[in-house]
Amino acid sequence: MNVGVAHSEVNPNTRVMNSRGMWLTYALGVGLLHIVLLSIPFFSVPVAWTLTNVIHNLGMYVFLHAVKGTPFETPDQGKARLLTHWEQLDYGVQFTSSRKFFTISPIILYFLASFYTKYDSTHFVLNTTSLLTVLIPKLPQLHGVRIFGINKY
Amino acid sequence: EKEELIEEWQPEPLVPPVPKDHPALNYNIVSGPPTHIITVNGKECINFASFNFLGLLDNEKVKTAAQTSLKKYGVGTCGPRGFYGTFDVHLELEERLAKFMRTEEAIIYSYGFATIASAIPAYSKRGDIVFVDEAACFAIQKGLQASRSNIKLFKHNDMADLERLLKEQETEDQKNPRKARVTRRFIVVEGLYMNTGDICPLPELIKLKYKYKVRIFLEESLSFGVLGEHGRGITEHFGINIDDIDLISANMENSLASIGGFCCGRSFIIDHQRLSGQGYCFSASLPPLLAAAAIEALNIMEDNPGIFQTLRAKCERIHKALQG
Repeated sequence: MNVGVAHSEVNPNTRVMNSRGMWLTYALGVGLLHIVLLSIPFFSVPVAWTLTNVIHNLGMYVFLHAVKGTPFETPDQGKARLLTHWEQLDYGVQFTSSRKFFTISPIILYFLASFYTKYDSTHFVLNTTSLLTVLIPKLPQLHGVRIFGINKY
Repeated sequence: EKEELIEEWQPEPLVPPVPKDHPALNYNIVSGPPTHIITVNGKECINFASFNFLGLLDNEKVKTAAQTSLKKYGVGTCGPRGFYGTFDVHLELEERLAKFMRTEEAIIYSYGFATIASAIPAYSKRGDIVFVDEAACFAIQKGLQASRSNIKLFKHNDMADLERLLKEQETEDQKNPRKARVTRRFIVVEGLYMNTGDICPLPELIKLKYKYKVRIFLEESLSFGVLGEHGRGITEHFGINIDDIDLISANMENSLASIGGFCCGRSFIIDHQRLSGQGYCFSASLPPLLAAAAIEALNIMEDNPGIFQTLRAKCERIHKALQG
């Protein structure tokens, strides 16, 4: 789906991540975040990498797994009102290319962060926990699952 | 032997033989316009089969206004409201209706059935709860079906039943307050019910509305131009402040002797329908000659407020005569 084009897509949220240039923008955005963090003189390189990883995972969790529904009215009378954006992607079809891309990208970031922090234990704990918070909601078994009723309505 | 069977077989006729005096073959022919007096088979009869309550269907002024508009604009608008289908008569009619009903804004639909059937799904979505009267008209039923909301029916005009349902909903809400915070609750009632001819008890409904925090959608198709001192409907009849009702929807096909429908209420509420009302965005707009006819009918209603008293007196007289 291209922006500003007349389309008959009932819920555009499902196809926004397949749009032209979305993956590239996302990668460049992460790169920009990292460069900004590297430019702050107080952060050493390992700290900058861990911060990139953590901030990226925090942002991904909030936008893909915490915020529910759509910012616009859909013609299907609110079918996706209680679904997070991740659950809305491709109408719930699992293992599509967007889903694979967004599952692999935090893993790649994790590998880079582990390398550049020289496998130091504190950094390791931080990076691993933040990776888990962003990988576990992506499992197909957790589609529509709300643990302890958090974020259910 | 096979040939014998084939020769024996007689196909059944596609059309069974019908006697010549079958009732569907002998029509009753109506000549002339269908007003108060209708000429059927050459005989003049009183027309009890139309909703033309104020007799404006055959009014000379209304007909002249429609004909002038026809000469000026042609017949149809050739477009929905959003795509070159908005004419000055539409805007004028919306303004006049809002001023007449003393609300902030009004919106015009081009088909009376579609008015309430588009208004309900514009506000009530999946997971929302609507309390409806059992005797709601077909248009309301279709609107509720399109809205995909949870429907709770209460017995016709039975406020005790409605209060029981509202209390049950309240206990459910207290058990699950987070879910209650995201569900919207509505009551849909008609001013004058098409199916039973009763008036809904609006003052008690307002009390229930403020006690249980539900929104009221009032469908005034039959009561607009009939009830109330100046014909403003059931809110004027009971003396209720119009701001207490969240949405009033009516169709103009009864007293107003036009086609189409309108919704009126606060700007905040009505404006939402300009993008979410499916019958508004995705249907051609009202033909300007009908809008002009409706404006003229409104003029007549505003200039002669005595016709409503006459109408009610006549209704009571017929009711008494038919009872005894």
